[in-house]
Amino acid sequence: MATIGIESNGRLERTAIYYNGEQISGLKELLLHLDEDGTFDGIIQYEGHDKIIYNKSIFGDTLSNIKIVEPSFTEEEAMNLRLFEIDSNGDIENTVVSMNSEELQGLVNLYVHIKSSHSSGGSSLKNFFGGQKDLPEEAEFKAEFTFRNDDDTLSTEGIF
Amino acid sequence: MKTSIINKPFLAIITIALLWLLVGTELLEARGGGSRGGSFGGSRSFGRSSAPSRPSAPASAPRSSFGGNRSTAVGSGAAKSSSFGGTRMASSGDYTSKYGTPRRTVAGNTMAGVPGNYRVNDYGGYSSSLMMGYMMGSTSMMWSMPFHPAFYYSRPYYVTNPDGTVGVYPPTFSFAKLFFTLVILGAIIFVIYVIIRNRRRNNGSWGVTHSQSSFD
Repeated sequence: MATIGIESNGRLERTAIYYNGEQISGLKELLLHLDEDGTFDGIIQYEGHDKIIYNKSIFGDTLSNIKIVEPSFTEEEAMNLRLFEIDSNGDIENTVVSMNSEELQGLVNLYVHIKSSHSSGGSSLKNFFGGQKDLPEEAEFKAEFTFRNDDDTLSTEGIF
Repeated sequence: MKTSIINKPFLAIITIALLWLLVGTELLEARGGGSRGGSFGGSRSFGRSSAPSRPSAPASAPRSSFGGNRSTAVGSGAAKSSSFGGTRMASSGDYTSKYGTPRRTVAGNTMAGVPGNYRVNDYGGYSSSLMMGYMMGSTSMMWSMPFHPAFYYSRPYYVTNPDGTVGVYPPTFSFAKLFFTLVILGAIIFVIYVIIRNRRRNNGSWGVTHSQSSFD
């Protein structure tokens, strides 16, 4: 079982990711797509201590060489943020989702895609003097889940 | 992932630029110079190789000539010799036609450390002060630095007169040296500007600060 936590207000610059209770850094991209039909995608891309970019399955792989940092948010700051957590072993049947430490029920679908912006310019001489002609990849922050209501209707909400 | 901004090629460029700033323009001055031939290095632009050798300079000379036998030109108006590392002219007329007649001419034997057959032409001003500094050997390493005005002046000009005396003329301001210095300084400033610009873009990710984020 692994626990991934996302503490955020919906903005990339105020988003902390926790892995098994410890804040991690160096993340490039995080994708979570869980569905009651059995879909279970949990992919993380990060830069490790060794400057190598890793692509790992959050709940299936060991996040080797991932950077662990001190919590960046104070308690006061955390009051204005939402803490979204997934505790799972990679099987949708053994997955518990909670929001601000309260377990959620009736989830149909969950989709989180957080991606930081970065330039693909490289460090060549042309790029150095020519500036960054290519626009950097746009940051993405999409997080929503779908619930089944009592009347069997579905409602989709933003997580943060 | 943070990109290394200052990499080896650019350090090499800056190093080469600084070396050129300190040394290259001196070489340019010595080798090029249009009609002026350098005393050290470069090729002669006048003179005859069959000319007899000239007696060595007095021991009190602040600088020695090349050493060994040297060739001189003979005949009126033709340059015979050069010395002290200055710039050699074919005749004094080359200088006086551009800068006029000197205020006064001082014999070398009245100055400490200057050979007696030298005739120092004083035009006044900063360049004459530089000339006196060169003549008396009281130069400084600072003169080779681009932030010192002397850097932008040539060495004194020497011309050997038919009567055996050596006329010394003040250095002249080198616009080419100033131009190259400005170009190189501009290039260095531009590189620094680009480094700062790239660092701001990379660190700030286009204005977004990720200091509290798990994402880079």
